[in-house]
Amino acid sequence: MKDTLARLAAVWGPPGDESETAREIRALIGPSVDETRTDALGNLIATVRGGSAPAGRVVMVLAHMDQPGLIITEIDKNGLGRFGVLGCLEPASLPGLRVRSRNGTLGVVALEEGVEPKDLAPGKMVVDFGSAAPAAGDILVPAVDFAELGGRFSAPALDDRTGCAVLIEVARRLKADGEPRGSVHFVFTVQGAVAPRGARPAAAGLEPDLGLVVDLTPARAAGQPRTEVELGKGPAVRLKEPNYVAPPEVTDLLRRAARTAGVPWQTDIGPSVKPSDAQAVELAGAGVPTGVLGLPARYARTPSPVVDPADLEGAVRLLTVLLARELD
Amino acid sequence: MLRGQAEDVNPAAGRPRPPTDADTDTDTAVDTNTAVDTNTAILGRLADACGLAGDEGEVRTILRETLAGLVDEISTDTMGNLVCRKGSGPLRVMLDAHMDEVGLVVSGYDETGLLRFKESGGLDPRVLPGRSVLVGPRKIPGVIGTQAVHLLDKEEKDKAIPTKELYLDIGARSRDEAAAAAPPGTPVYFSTRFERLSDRVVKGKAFDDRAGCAVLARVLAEADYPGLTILGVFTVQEEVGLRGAQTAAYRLAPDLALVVEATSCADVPGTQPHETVTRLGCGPAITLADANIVVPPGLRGHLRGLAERHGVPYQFRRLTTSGNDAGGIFLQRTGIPTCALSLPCRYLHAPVNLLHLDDLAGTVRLVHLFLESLAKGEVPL
Repeated sequence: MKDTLARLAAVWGPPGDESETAREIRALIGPSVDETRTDALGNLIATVRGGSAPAGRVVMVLAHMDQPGLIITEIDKNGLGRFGVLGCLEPASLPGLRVRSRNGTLGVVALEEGVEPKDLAPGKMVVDFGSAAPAAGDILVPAVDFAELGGRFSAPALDDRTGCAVLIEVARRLKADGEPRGSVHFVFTVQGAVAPRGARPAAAGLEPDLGLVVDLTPARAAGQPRTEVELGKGPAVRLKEPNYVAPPEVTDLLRRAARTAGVPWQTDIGPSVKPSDAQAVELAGAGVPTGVLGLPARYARTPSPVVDPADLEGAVRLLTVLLARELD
Repeated sequence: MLRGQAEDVNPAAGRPRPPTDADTDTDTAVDTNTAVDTNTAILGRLADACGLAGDEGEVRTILRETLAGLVDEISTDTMGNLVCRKGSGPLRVMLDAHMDEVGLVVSGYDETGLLRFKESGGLDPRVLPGRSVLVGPRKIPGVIGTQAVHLLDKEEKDKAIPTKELYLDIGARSRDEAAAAAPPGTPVYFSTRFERLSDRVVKGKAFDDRAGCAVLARVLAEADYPGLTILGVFTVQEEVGLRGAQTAAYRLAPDLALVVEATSCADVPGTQPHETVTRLGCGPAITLADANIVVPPGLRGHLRGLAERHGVPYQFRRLTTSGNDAGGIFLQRTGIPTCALSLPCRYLHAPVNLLHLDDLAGTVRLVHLFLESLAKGEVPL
């Protein structure tokens, strides 16, 4: 899974420009599924058709495949780029960051002189491309490589390529261990790093009986703890988000699968996080019971999230068991 | 005038001149802007018409009358969106402009006959006091009043007066008289009349988004693209939540959509260049990303490429927040690829807007180029 994650972390795919990521994921998941396709907005849908299971349920498992980035809105007369932020990147994490465009042009984010720390905002920053010539409309992502910290992983695109890697691994194990009960659509959504977007039309088209979102969830780090979720203690069953409350039958299903799989799990009750795709799936069409499995991550809103492979392995085992055995 | 400047200046160009009837119907200029000047008549009619969110009837009637016979089918849907179909080709393209404008709604009265009001859509409270308005379908004249200036202390003078402390004065002398003239819920419009400020700049209210409506009306009247079904949709209730566009897109299920909106300029003194959203007269603004949508680079790059290849001035919308109907359209059904063009408009969401006619002309041209490219099979999906 480390190799998959490292490969996905390196591929281009900021919000709105996910086609290369979709291609990479298609190559990785293709051998494990019956069919892959891309919809009108660019969501990648990889389907495993359930075989003999009676009245098979249709399950949609989602992870957003875009990663946070910056978009250049104007190049000023000094050649410096002004930008807006696409997705969650805390302003304090930007000054000094090296960024790159799709064609590999490098730049550094710099703060205007004399800005007080409390006034940190993207509007007070520029991207300096040296003597290179970028253009308005260029999208940039952090130019930070995938790294192994001890046994843990860090890369800017872990939100939510981590979820993508988990889904790919679940598909592999389902393929190896026999078919799932019912049909499973692994959906890699667009623009989810910004807000719940691609997930809604994807869910509207698939009309699943159950939705399961796999996304990062903030884990306790330095300073005052704001969450009970800890790194390395297993995937987290999320209870609520802004505009979303987890249905008890879905959280029960997730916990039951964790017990069956012998996987430690945690409960994620906030504080309020960036909304996952859950609310978009839940309200699609006639409504879809939807759960969120959180992958604990430190520094989730910076260019350097850190995740623990034990949590990812736990999530894979939990979901594999859920899809193969617990769906009755 | 400085020496050396004279030969660079076309004496006819920057000189303001009074508007005449001839200006609205014909123009002696020989550039590509000639055509659009015939369009100022419809722009003026649309801008002077009144219609808040949910109250778009007057605007809808003008558009329906204007386009009758020029398109293949006109209908009004359950929400009040006006849908104009032109052509019946296999590729279904939705063009969107919203009909509603920002304004006020009567919400209460006091004993002396003054009216209280609430906002419909987002307004800047700094620009309200002292404005002339028109109240209700009968367009009763009124003014927005506030406490006499000599009664304000220094601190009060320095800050904007909250909307809830303002009142509306229609000359009524009692609560009953006021309530009879303007029952609760009566819409209130700014009374600005459309006029030319100079040969290329016009003044009016509600250019957001009557300018877009004028562009769409013109494009629909002229469009002839075998291969396309053009669905021109004049939507309701954009200003209060991108509402009509959502149901229209669901109902029509187009293959892709282009939104024509008006957006702010902020190209005025005291604003850093990068803080301007757009610049007046510098062409239609292509949306990169806003609060509700990131337009895929392929789609917006297609618009940019068309503008560059055909010499149409364009700019990017330099704000990645706020939004328009594009965000309401693209997530309908199983997803509808959507892009947006905005006409730069100074003093947006205020009683008086300014619009540059070159931007209007450029937008019409770019929408035509977009449709033409789609008809030729250059679908940027």
